[in-house]
Amino acid sequence: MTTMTENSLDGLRTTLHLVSELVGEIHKREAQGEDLGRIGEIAISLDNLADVASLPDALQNAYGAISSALAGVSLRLQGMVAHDHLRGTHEKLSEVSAATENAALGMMDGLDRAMTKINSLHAMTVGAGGDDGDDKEFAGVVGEVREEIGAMFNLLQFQDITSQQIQGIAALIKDAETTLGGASKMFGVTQEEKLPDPDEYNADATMGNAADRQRIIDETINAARA
Amino acid sequence: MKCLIVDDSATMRRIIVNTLKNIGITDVAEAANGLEALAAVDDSIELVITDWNMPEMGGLDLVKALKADPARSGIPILMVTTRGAKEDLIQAIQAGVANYVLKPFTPELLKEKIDELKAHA
Repeated sequence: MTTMTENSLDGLRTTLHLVSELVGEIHKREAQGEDLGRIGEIAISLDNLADVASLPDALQNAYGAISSALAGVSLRLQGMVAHDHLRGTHEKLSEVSAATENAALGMMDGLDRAMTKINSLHAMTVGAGGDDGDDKEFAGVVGEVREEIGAMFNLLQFQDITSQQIQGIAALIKDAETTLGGASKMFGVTQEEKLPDPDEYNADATMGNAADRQRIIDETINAARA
Repeated sequence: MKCLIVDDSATMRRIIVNTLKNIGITDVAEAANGLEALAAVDDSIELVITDWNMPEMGGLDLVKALKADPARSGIPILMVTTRGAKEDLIQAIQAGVANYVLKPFTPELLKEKIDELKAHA
């Protein structure tokens, strides 16, 4: 692209120089008393339009300024790609998501083991033949611990919901990365990109107002049934 | 009652399995997306609990595929999803979803919705 522009610019400069020389030649002949009719009028009009001889230099300066600015953009794009400012960020976010899933599953394993131990302890105590009052009190405590473990298990839903939010952010970053890749390609910096399928996640997933939102869902379901 | 749980999140599948176990449903099968679910749905499945957003085949397409199959169209489907927009719900109802639970849910809510499905069966 740059070479084509430079070639066109050289051609334009040559043409403008020739036009300038032609105008000068016409004026010289007119000064010698030669009647050039319409040709002389055109030469005067050209002279009045602009200083034709100075146009090639003006164009050259403008081209130099534009080239310099584009070179700066190119360097910046190359720098962004080379320094991984965006490249691969979505993969890193996916790694975070996978790590939280593994951690959540590990926590569930731990909660399962805790529940098994509580059940074993309860069975051992019941079999020991102690005081009825103590047994009931212990059974009550065991029940409460089971409920607490169940609640902790359920709280781990946050992992799925935050994972979907992360996927939404990752998709935005990847989109920006693809746009940058397109711009970089113009300057010879290549990137291979594929956008994630938005059907695989809900970027609007939230932990908030679950009860209120469920109420609206229930009203709509009930209305559909009625 | 045998239940098929369809969710691409292993965490969510396990939470649902655990919730079902606590309400006496221990016979469960699992699938990570709609395509796996279609392969897993046989005559023994009496309830499908599915997420919406999944790779390969999402929950809405799974519902449509099941409802289009006369042999499996009678299986009640409970959608459990983060998608709470009214237009999503309308799409789900039109596709044939019998009940709808928003994530995050409580075990009590999931039990309540399953009981409702049993009552309407």
